[in-house]
Amino acid sequence: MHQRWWHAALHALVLILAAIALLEWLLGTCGVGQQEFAQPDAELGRRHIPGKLVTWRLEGYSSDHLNSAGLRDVEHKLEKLPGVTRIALLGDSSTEGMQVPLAKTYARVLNSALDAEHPGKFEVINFGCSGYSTGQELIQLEKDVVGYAPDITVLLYNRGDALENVRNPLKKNVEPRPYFYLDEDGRLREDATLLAQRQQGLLPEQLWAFLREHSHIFGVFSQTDLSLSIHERLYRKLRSWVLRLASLLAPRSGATGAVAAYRPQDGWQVTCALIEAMNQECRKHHSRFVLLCFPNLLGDPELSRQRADLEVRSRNRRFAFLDLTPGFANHPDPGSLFLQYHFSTAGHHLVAEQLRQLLAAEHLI
Amino acid sequence: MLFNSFTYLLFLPIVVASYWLLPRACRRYLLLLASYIFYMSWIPAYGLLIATLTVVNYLIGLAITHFAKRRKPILILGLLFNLGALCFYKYANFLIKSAWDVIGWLQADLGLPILRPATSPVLEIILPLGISFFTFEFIHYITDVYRGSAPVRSFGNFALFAAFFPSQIAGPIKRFQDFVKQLVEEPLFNSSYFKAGLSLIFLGLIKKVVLGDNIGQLVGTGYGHVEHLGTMDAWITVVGFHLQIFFDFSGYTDIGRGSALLLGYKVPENFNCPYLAWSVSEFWRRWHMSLSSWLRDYLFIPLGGSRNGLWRARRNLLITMVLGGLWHGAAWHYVIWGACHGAGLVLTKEWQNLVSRLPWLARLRPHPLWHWSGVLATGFFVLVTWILFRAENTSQALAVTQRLFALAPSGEVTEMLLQSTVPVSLAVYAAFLLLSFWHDRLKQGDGSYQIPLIESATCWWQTSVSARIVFFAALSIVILGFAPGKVEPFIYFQF
Repeated sequence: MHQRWWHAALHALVLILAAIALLEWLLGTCGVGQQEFAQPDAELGRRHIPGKLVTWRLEGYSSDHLNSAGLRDVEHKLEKLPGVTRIALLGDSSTEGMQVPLAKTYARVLNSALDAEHPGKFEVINFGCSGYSTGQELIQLEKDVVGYAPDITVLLYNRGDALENVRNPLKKNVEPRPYFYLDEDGRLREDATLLAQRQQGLLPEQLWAFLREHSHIFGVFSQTDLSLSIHERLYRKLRSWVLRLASLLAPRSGATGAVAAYRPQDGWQVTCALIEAMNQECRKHHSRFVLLCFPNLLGDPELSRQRADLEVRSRNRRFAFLDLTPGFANHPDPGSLFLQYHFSTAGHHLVAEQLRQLLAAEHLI
Repeated sequence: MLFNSFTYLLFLPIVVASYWLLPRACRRYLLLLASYIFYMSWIPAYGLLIATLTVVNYLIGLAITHFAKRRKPILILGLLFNLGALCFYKYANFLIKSAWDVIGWLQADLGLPILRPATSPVLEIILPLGISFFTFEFIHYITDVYRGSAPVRSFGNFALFAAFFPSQIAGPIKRFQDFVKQLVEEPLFNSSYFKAGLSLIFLGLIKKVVLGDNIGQLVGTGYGHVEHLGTMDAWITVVGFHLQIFFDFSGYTDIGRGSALLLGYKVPENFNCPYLAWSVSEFWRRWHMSLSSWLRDYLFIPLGGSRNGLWRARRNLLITMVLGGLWHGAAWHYVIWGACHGAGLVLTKEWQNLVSRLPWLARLRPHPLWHWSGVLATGFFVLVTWILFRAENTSQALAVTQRLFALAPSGEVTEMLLQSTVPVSLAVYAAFLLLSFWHDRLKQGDGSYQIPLIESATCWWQTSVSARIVFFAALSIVILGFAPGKVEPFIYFQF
């Protein structure tokens, strides 16, 4: 009996290991389960995994490696070559452009267009990362971007960013990321309590990091979790219950605890303060700040209001501003510029062209 | 609730577990409740519609038996009631629009002074899911009772026949004699049914999620940008839909049949390798079999069937297929699609007559080449007619057909195909089919296999529970991995 038990267990173990090996090979060969591209980060909340091969199929298609610095771009040296004008692009998934091949992102298209006009004189670097808020982009600018000494820093502002910059006190399960608030004196402050909590909670982080980087099966579960969270209401609800339960059982591991020690914030005011901080940071490093506003083709009144406000601020604070809406709306086939939520190849091309025209008009190139 | 959704993934195990845990007397009521929850998860108010139709048809069935002398008017009343409900929900806007167009033509061409509104009025109707299917089951029921079958006396059984969730939305169209018999017998737990049911659900999910939905993305892109289609793009789009509709619909049927088997019930098969049919008539004996047999029994035969001469038989065939086309949707391209298949069936009959009259042609018949040319010709005919079926209207169907022969360079759809998982998935699926075919061929009369290695592998598979658990777990990961990001509805849900 004793021997039989061991025999069955060994048999099952061998089968499981064989199945894992076979699955990893099959999924890897087919480029499935390679959509995992970010890992937790103590300061930014999360950042790209350097050198990771990402095959993206959730919306559109691409299959490219992130570069050794974790940028969705070709390799760039930290030191700037003499006589070269560097343009840093910051933004969220729209700038990152996983939905199109790397060569067709607006960063690469702009680089090619500038290279064709002035060979070897320009270098465009894409710092875009999915889900980044303006606050994360400010930290990224301070920690990573200035190291590359860009002459021009471009930020693509998207409507959702204003909501992501501040903590919603009513939301139980919020993403661990740096949040911002304006203190009693109106000064911009960072709230990193959730990040600190997570750092304490995630002890076996190395194991997760390994799986995230190397396992296609882990990638499949992760992408399923993402797509179900987007499309299935029941799943979202169950997931939130499970997370709440987990945080009750192990209060240190969740991202639900600590109540913010400041009054509820107006997301837009904080966002404006963050944009101004980015403008100041750019000036400090002799970089010209340029702000792009995401095309508002659906006529969202909130984004229209934000756009008008940003335009006024750009005049007062002397940074270049471009609303992408007119260029997109006047396109003969505006529907072809988007896949579902993100730019298509044609959309990236149009952003690059509009940005190139703006830089020329501002005598920056 | 879609079979390929997370909600169904929770719903089915809960229903199956509760079903087998409950005492036998309560099981049917649980199934009835589950079926109504399943249906009302979409638009709760439409639960009332299916309930009303059920009550009325139940009473009509009893009335036909009870008032034997007046059974014909009662049947006609019942048919009008069912067809009225179907027409109201499905065809009201089509009829209004068609009448509006006819009035427009009369005004323009004949100069008749008829007043009509500037734009066609449209009724705000949401088509109840599955109405075409359960209406057909009701028509079958009252017609068979009229023809002499005993009506269902138990209202619970009848209500479950109408609402049974595994076949509620898109069939297969059940026959009450077979289904109610199973209800009366109250199935006991059968492990072979359970295993077969799980296998069918997995097969259905692979067909739907891994193959159908991914191919559907290519097809959707193709039909969304017809004017930009290159020749290769157009062929990929057209062949893609040929495969998509099979994987989608047969995948749905497999999941439905598998779910029914988990509960101990059998629902009819709907597909039998339809793309291996060697003639159009054979295709309809293999494709959507429950609809084909319904059309035969409740439309073709009442119209006169093959009686009363050759021309009447051909006419009846054409009418049946045109109405079958119209059943799929209230649009002219469906009507033309049905007419094409009607014409295809008539031509097949004529060809078969011709072959039997010419001995030299009849001698070629046993040759495999004859068979396979028939398969190819039928496949091509079905493929081309699917263009009409998939297109949004006849002009789009014509545009796609033109692009097939336009000699334009390939574009987005070809690029998408090369980047997608479709080629690998199709290759693996084809290999699986060949292996299963080979495996079945090796089986001998006594159940053993000619090759000892296959014999021991099959034996190991049948006895090793852990092997099966690991296999199905791995298969689940494959399905999740290959699934497109979004849950896509089944094509036949719109009918």
